[in-house]
Amino acid sequence: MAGTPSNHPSMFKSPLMNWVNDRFPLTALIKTSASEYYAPKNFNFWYYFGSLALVVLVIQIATGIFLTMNYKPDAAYAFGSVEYIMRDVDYGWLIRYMHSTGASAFFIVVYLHMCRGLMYGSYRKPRELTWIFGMLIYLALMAEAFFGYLLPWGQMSFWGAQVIVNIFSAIPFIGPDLAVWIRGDYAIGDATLNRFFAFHVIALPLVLLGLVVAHLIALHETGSNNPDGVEINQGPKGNRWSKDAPADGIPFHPYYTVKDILGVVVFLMVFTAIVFFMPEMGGYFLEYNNFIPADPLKTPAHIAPVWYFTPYYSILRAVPPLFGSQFPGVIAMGLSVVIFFALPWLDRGAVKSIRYRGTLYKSFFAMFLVCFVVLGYLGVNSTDVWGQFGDWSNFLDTKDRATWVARLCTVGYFAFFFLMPWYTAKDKTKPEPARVTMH
Amino acid sequence: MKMKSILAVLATAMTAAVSVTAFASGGPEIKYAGATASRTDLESLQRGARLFVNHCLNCHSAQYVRYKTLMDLNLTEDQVKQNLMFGAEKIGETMKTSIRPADAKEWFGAVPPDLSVMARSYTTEKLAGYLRSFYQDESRPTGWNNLVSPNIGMPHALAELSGPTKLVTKSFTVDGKELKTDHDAEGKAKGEFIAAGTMASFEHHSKKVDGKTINTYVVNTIANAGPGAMTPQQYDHAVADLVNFMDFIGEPHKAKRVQIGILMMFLLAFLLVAAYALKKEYWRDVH
Amino acid sequence: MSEPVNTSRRRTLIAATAVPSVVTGAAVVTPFVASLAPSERAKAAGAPVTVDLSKLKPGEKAAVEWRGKVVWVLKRTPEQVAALEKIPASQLQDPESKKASQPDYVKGATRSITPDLVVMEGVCTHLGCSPTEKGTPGELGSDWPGGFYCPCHGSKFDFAGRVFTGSPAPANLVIPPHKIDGVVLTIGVGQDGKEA
Repeated sequence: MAGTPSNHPSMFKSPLMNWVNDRFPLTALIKTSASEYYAPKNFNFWYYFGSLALVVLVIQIATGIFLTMNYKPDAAYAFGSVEYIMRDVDYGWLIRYMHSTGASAFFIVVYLHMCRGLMYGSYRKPRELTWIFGMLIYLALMAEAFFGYLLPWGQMSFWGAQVIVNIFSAIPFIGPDLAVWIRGDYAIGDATLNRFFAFHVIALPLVLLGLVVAHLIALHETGSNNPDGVEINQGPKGNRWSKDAPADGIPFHPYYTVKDILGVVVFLMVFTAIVFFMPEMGGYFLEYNNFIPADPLKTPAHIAPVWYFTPYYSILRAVPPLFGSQFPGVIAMGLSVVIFFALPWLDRGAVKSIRYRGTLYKSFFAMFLVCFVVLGYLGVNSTDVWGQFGDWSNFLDTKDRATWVARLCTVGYFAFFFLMPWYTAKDKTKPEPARVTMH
Repeated sequence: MKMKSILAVLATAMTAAVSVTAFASGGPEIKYAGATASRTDLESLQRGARLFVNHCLNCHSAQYVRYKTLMDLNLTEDQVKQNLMFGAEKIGETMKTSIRPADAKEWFGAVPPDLSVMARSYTTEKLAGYLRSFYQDESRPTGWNNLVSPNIGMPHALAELSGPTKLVTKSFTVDGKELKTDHDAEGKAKGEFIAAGTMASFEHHSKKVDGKTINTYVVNTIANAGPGAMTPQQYDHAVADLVNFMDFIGEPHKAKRVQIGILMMFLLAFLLVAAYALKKEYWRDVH
Repeated sequence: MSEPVNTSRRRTLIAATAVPSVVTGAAVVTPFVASLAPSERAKAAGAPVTVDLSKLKPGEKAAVEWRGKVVWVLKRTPEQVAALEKIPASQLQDPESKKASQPDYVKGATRSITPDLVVMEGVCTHLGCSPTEKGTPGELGSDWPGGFYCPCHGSKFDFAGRVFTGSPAPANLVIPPHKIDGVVLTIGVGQDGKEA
């Protein structure tokens, strides 16, 4: 080390690494984010999904780049270019199946990751910003999925986009003009496809990457939450690696890296099984109607969004129009997504983790999960899926049983949020332990 | 009372929207019957290929499918060229149709859809059922109608194989003798529907006559009405082969996909064991 | 907690995980690399091309597109064939075409299956321009026997595509696989039946 004085004590023997280290805080980065980043030692099953989301992001970016090499964002060629990828390009089918499966996998992983946040109160002080960045990632992901879904230019692509864009036309006064402006045409067309392509392959991926970095920086600032919801940084100090580190923390590397590798392998097995053995996943990951080229003159008999949007779609359908305007439904749907942002301030519970919450909170949380799943189920089906009420119901606006269930679930969904300040404060919580517990 | 009037107001306000979202109640119940074939049966796929190029490509294209793909069915380039390639010169060409789109539109009312991925959107079961459901109907411009897709513009392209077919309609309604109640009539009709060995449909009509509701239960089946180049059984299997081939061109790489998938699962299983042991070893420090 | 760390076991397990990881990684990378190769469509477009030779008169040259490149089919006159033999070996970079990219079944000064008919890519081996024909002897200096001249950097070739000394082009013009069947020439399939 003669010559240049080092800013950071080097962890490398190699002169090349030392050379780098004198010019770039490599050691410091590795230390703060891995080998000396102390995470609570009691992470359970639910803590795999953060790293898995990152894995899926990488899969989507890599496969996306290769799909872009052969895809044509032109209404006349888009459908054909996807079939070209599926047939003529060597292993194009594999790359495409990985991308289409990855889209659904992304939402599965993200929903489970969010569910973890809800269960263990990960959104609460001091991690509000981590939560908000996470929610922004979720919003960006929804937009990314929506734009991407138009690209294969099949019937579901076309009519799905048609319906979603038309939601904007329900906005009073500016709605219809806004919808035309979004489409760049009077109907979904070549201009729409082209701009959706631009958003899907460059704009939103950039936003997503930036948000992921922000999410991680915020997380590493406060440190991770854990299933007990107690702060390890406020607990006793000193562990076998360092006398200043929290006693209940372990270095992320190697302990959580080896654990996450295990999680990734299990995930890849499930992912591989779907990609190779059932890429259509019974019509949920690749919809049958999307193998028919987009036809602006013929609407398929049954249009449903892809499964990951269906809870919100159900809410949109369930809310009755007011004075002939669909706007209340649109507002309700928008609110049902955006309301997650307010969680850190709605929750007034004395404890973070569901482990120490009382029956009241647990009941509301269970109800929320049931409502979310039921809404999701109803959203993939037509409103007559559960038949109709008898003649006694003539005074109702609709006799479809499913619509009424969806309305009930919509109320339940919002009750979880709107009543949260009340029931979390009222809740009879159990005392939190002083230290994390290992099961 | 107040509640009711509010509901009434709401109901009126919603009528417009609801009528838009209301679904046409699902048409008749369809029973899909007939032989099936396996995707791994190369001979079935070869027979299907022959039927496809001889009967389908006259009007339909399969524009994403290259003739070269057919070599995956254990056929040589020369065999494909001599037996299966009529509208093309080179093995790398795609399956075009000989008909002009404008002519097709004039004759059938619509351009016949491309068949490359037809089996992926409709499933082989439905496609086969459709091809087994043509019957003669003089009221149609083509002389043919279809049980599962009523009033479709496409004529019975395989008629020379199946021979003429007809629709057999049986109606059941209360007659006061054997069928005393609607329940009896429905039961009898359902029995016929389930017992039918061919494609069949079941419908329920009701109409009001002099203030009384009369329920009729109708069962339609497809029957042979004369000789064709094949017996009904042969035709049934030919359709199975044809849709099997259409499933093949829908996703030609399926066989390869499954093979690679099995290899990948083995590879990951190895990795799983190693990763598990590694995690366990490190976590001894923590526990 | 007090248990000593078994470093060698850890090393072994890291290796045991790394090896299948690398294999899996390679398996994942393979399809991506393979997807960059010419697709079935490109292969179909690059399929062998046939040329009818019956209408080609001596001294005429047909230009055929094969795989996006121009291929010259040149029917040389007896004088042109004879002139090839007379060019001193010292004036040519590779008179025997030993370094040239050409199939085994074309040999000698004529570089062709039959003495008169030569098939070669009209692409200069220097930087890929297409040379122009300068067929008249003496057109490019008194000892010019007739041949091709590349307008980009002045490379000169004879009527067999052999490059003259002093040209920037490093090699003779490329001869693609081809076969002659009576009056039908096929480019892209060799006389030995091998497809390119």
